[in-house]
Amino acid sequence: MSEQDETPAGGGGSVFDRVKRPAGGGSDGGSGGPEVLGTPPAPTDSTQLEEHTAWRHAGVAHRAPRAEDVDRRAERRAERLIAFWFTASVIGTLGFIVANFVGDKHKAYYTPVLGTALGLAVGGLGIGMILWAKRLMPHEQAVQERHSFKSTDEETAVFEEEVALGFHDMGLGRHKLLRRSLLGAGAVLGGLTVVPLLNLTNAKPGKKLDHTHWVKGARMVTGEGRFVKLGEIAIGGIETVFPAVPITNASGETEFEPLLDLHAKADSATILVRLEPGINKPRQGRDGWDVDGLVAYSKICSHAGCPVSLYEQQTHHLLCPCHQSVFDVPDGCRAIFGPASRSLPQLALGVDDEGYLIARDGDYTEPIGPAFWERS
Amino acid sequence: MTTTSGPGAPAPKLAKRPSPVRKMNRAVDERFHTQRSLRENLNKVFPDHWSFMIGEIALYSFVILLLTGIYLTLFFDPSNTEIIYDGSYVPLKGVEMSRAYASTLDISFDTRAGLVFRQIHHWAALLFVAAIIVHLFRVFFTGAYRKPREINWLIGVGLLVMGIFEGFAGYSLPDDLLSGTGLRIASSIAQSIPVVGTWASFLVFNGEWPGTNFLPRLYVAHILLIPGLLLALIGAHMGILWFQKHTDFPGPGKTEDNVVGHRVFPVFAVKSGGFFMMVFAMLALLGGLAQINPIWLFGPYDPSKVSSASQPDFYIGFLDGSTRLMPPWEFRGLGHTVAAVFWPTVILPGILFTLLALYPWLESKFTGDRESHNLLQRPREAPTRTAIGAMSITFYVVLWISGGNDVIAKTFSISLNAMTWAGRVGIIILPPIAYVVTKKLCIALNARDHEIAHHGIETGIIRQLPSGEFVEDHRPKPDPVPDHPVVPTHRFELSPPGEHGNGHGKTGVATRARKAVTGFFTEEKAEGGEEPVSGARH
Repeated sequence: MSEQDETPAGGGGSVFDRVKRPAGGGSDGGSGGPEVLGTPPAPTDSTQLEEHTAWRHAGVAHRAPRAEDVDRRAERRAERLIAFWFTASVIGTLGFIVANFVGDKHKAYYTPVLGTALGLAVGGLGIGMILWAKRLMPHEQAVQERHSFKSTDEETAVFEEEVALGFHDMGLGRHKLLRRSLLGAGAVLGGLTVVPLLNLTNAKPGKKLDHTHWVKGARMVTGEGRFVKLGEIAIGGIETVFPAVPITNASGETEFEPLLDLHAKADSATILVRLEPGINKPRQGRDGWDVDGLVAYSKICSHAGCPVSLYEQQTHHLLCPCHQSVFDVPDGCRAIFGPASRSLPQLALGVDDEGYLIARDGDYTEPIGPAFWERS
Repeated sequence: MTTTSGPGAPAPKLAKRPSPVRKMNRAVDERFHTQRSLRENLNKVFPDHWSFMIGEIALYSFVILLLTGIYLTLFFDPSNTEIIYDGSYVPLKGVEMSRAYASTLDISFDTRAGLVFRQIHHWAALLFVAAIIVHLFRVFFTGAYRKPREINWLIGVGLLVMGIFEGFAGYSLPDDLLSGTGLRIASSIAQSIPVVGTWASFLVFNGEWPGTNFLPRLYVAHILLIPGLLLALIGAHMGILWFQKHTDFPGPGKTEDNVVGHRVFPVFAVKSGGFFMMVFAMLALLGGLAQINPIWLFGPYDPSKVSSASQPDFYIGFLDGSTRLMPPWEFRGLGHTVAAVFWPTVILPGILFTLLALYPWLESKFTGDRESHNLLQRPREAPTRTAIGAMSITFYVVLWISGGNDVIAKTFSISLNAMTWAGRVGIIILPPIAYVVTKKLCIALNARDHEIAHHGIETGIIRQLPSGEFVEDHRPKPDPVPDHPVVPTHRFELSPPGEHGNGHGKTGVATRARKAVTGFFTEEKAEGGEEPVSGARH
C-alpha cells in the first residue's frame, strides 16, 4: 500500500498543502513508512515525544482529492459559502436581540421569532464550522498507538510493598485497641448522618394516614364552597365534595367551615354518586349508609392516590385516569379491573335538619388512598 | 535554554519576536509545565463514525440545559405559598395558586425570552435522556462496554438514572395539575416501600401528602444536588474516555493497538464545536416553534382534580406502563400491607437497572472473555448479546406503549381492558420471540457474510459447463471501501477457545449452572469459527 493520502494536484498553495506538508515531509509518502505529522520531534527527547505523537500511516485510507484541494476556485467558493453561513449567524443574533427588546412579548409571534432567530444564530455558526472542517481542512487519517493499561509486574510489586510497609508503620495490625476504637468511632460518626435525615420533618407519620378531615356531622361542600342538599344531584349525577366542619361561633351558633386547602382536599376528597333506585347493594354492616340512592366514596384511588374522576353512567363504573383501575359503584366500589386491589372506602351519608348532606358517623372507617406498610 | 515548540511550527518562526499569544503560552509554561501535555492532548486522535456522535448529543444537551436552566432560575420562585394570580394570562386571573405556578406563568407570558428558554429547556431535557438511551444502545450492540471500559458503562447507567430523576424533578417544579399528579404518585410509591416507606415519604415531602414547603426542597435537588452529581459523573465519563481512548470499528489499518481518525486539533475540535451549535440550533427551533408542556392549560395543582389522558415525559412512560399492567397484587397480613405499586415501580426498575449496570461483568463471566477490546463488533457478530438487547428493548417498548394505553385505546377505539390484557400477555411472550428472531437473524447474516467471503457475490449469470452441468458465476468480494467499517468475514466467538468456563474440574451446582449458561451464550459458534480473517484486519 503505497498511495499518498491525498494528491494535491497543482494547487500548491491550498490550505491542505500548507498544513499537511511541512518542509521535508513530502518525500516520505511513497516509501510506505509511517510519517510523523508536523515537524519531526527534536532529537533530544524523541522517545518521550514519539510515544504521544499522532502518526499518519501512509495507505491507511485514501480518498480522491476534493474539488477544494485541486481547484482554487472551488476552494474560494467553499470559503464564500462558509462566510455566508457565518453572516447568517450574525443576522440571527441581531434578529434575536431586536425581537427580544422591540418585540411585543404578548403577541403570538414573539416566541417563534425568538426561537427561529436563535436557531439561525447558533445554527449558522454550526453549519459554517462543519463546512469549514469538511471542505477546507485537510482530511487526515492520523494514527495513534494505544498502550496497555496494565502496569509492569515490577511497578505493581513495588507499589504493593510500599503500601504494605505504610500499613505496617500505621500499626493497625499490632494495636488491637487502636483499631477497634477507630472502627467504633467511625461507625458512630457515620450513624450521625441519620440526624440531618430525621430533621427533614417534624411531622412524624404516627396515625396521620389513618384519618381524614371528616368529622361527625360535617356538611358536604363543593370545591366552589356550596353546601350540597339532598335532591340536588340528579339520578346518574356525581359531585366531588369536601368536609365543612361544624364550629361554634362567638354567639354560640353552629357554623360550617369548608375545608378547601390542599391538605384537606388531598385526603378528604369524596365523590357522591346518585344511583338509580334499588341497584345499590350495600356491603354487610353498611345498610343505611346511602341516602335516596346517593352513595359517598373516597375520591382518592386506593392504588396510587390519584383522584378517581371518570364516571360511566351506563355501567356505574368509576375509572381512575392515572392507571385505569375500575371500581364498581353499586358493589361497594369494588376494584374490578386494573392494578387497584382494594375497594374505595365508603363514607356513611346522612341528612341534617336543614336538608344538607352530612357525614353521618364521622370519618372513614379505614385509611383512604394508597397502601402503606403500617396499614393493617 | 531554548524551548522546543510544538509540531507545525517551522524552525524559522522561533527566531522571530514572539507574538503575544506565544508569550502568554511561555509564561504559563514556565509556571505549569504545560507544553508536553498540551501537545499530547491536542494531538489526541478521535475515530470517525456517525454513531459516535450520539453521546455528544447527550453532552451538548446537558450544556444547553445548564445554560437555559440558569436563565430560568433567575425568574422562577419555588415557593408553595398560595397567592391570587394577577398576571397577563387572562383565563387564570383571580385563581388561587402557588408562587411556583404563578412564576412559571410569568416566565411564560411576562418575561422577555422566558417561554422560548423554558421550552428549549424542556426539549433539551427530553433530548438529553433520549440521546443517553440511544447512546446506550450503540455502546451495547457494538460491545463497546467490554474490558477495559466497564466502569464507564457503569457511570453511563448512573447518568441515565440520574437523568431520569432530574427530568422528573424538573417537570414537577411548576406545580401545575400534571406535575402535582405525578408527585402524588411518587409519594404513593415512596409510601409503598416495606418498613421504611411511610417515614421515607414523610421525610421527603415534610409530612403527609402534599407535604409542607416541599417545592424548595425539590428545587434544591433539581438545580444543585442532581446537576452537581450529573456534572461530576459526566466529568468522570469524559475523563475515562479521554484516558482510555475511543473504541473504533474494524477497518483498513485499524487494529486493537491503534486509533485512526482526526486529531482533536484542529479538525475534530471544529467539527465538534459545529455539532454543538447544530444541536443548540435544533433545540432553539423546537423551543421557538414546537409548544411543549403548556402548563397554563392544566391549571394549578388540586389533589381532587386530574385531567384524563395525562401523560408523563417519555422517559417515565415505561414505569407508568408497568404500573398499569401490574395485576392487583397487594399483600396484607400480620398487620402490614405491601402495596401493588411497589412491584412495578420499585422492584422492577431496581432489577432492570441492576442487570443493566452489571451486564459487562455478567457477559465476561459467562463467556470467559477476560481480554481487553478496543475494536467494536457489529451486532450480528455477537448474536446472543444482540438477541438479549432486542429482548430487553421489546420488554421496554411494551411497557412504554402500555404507559399510553388509554390514549391508544381512545384514538383507535379499542377497549381499554383489551389494551391492558394485550400488554400483560405481550410483556411475557414478545421478548422471547424477539430474542429468538434476532438470534436467528444474526446467525443467518453471519452465514451470508461467510458465503460471500468464500464464494463471492452471486452474479445471476448461469453458465452451462461442457459436462452439461449448470453453474452460477460468482465474482469475488470487492476490496474494503477505505474509510468505512470493514465487514469482517470471520465468525465471532464470544468465548476464546480453551478458556471456556474457567472452572475445569469443578463439579459444583454453581459451576454446572454457569457452564450451562455459557453454552447459551456461545452456542452460535458451533458452526465453525476458524474462518480466514479478511485481509483488512491485521
